Amino acid sequence: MMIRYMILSPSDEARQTFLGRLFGSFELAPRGGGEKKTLTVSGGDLEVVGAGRPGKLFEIVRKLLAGGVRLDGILVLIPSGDEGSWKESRQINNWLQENQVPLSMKSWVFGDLSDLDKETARKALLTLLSEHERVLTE
Amino acid sequence: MAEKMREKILVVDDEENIRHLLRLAFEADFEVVEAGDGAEALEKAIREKPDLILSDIMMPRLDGYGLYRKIRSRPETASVPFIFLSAKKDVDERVVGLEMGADDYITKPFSIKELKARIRSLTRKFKELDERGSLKGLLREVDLVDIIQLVEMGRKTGMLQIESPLGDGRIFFEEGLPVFAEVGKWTGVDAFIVLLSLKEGRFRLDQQPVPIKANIALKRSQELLMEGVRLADEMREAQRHLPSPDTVLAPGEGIPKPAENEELALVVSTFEGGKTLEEVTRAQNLPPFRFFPLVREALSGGYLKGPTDEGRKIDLLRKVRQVLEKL
Repeated sequence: MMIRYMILSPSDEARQTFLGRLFGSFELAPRGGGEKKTLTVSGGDLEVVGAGRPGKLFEIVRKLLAGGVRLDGILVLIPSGDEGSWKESRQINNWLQENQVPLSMKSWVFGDLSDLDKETARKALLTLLSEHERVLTE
Repeated sequence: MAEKMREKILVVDDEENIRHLLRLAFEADFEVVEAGDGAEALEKAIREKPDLILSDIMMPRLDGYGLYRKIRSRPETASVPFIFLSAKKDVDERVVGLEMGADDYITKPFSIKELKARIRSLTRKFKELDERGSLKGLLREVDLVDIIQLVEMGRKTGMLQIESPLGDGRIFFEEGLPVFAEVGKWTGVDAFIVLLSLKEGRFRLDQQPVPIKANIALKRSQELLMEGVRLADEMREAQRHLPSPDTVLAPGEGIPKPAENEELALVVSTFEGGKTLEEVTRAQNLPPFRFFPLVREALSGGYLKGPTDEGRKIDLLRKVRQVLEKL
């Protein structure tokens, strides 16, 4: 059994700061293709994958899901003032609802990288986890 | 003041960057000697008399297995602790490493911290056993497989006592071979394999005569070690796929019991009326390395009914939450 969450952000630095501060380490995909961290617990794994490029957030999610990649949740990290990413985050949310994709999603706007401290990153991921739990128990 | 004599490690790898990485990691604590293949390593092992050899497997001229055989066949190097360092992670390779009698087997990509800890522990244990004739420690720090191979290599006679969550266990050795084992409800080979799979507990090895009638008959312990490591891996793999211990399981409705497999049928019937996995684990008599794979087989064959996928996900989410909260 595996739960897979995606940290989606147009900023490589934001994703890597988030994963690095929360988990201490993560794997980098070759040629800048994203990040991955696997947390193993008894009964299964939590896989957290990082991905995103400016202006391509919606396209990435749509292509991954259309390609059969299973995701259980998405946490969108949006740099403050990045209107484009905010709109894309709304677009993803609408698309998931229209297509009845059972996937939990939370968006989080941060000011600068110092906002992505370990405690805040932990809270953000736990919020996504609670949302996921709520969807499963409904 | 005279400098304290440092232990010497022979690092054998055909990849220069790996050797460089290992040198950087170890040179503060150990004297590091390098060799680029097995043939060069053999020459250096004879000349430099290392305290431990850390070797890659796939190498030109003489590979890691060939080096191991030659090291063990020469009296001057036969007792040097040997650790295989391999990029191959699959169980078969690990078993080959054990069959050869290597003292440890670490896979790449490795954690330098873990590697350092294992090297320190292994060199210390070898010295302790040589000097004091006994040794003790924690299973989370020293693998029981290492201890058993150490006993075999030194052809020791004695008793290995293990205090574990499964109860107190004992293995008696006669000239390096296990001749008697017991732990909890199990005796003989079953007990030996149950003990091998333990990762928590304390152990103590004392050299002494064997005062008890043998319940294991072997010519070499390597076959049993190989089998034990394989079964322990299978058990852990099965456990990873099972629901949490407090999950209630019951025989699947309308599904006949598996007639062709008596043990599987027995396991299914122990869940009659719905019981938690924990309850049945405690009450039944099969050793864990047989019981857990059978429960997994019963669940995947539909003979046992488990929680729904959603239920298992919620269960997993709860465990993930606990881990995240402690990070």
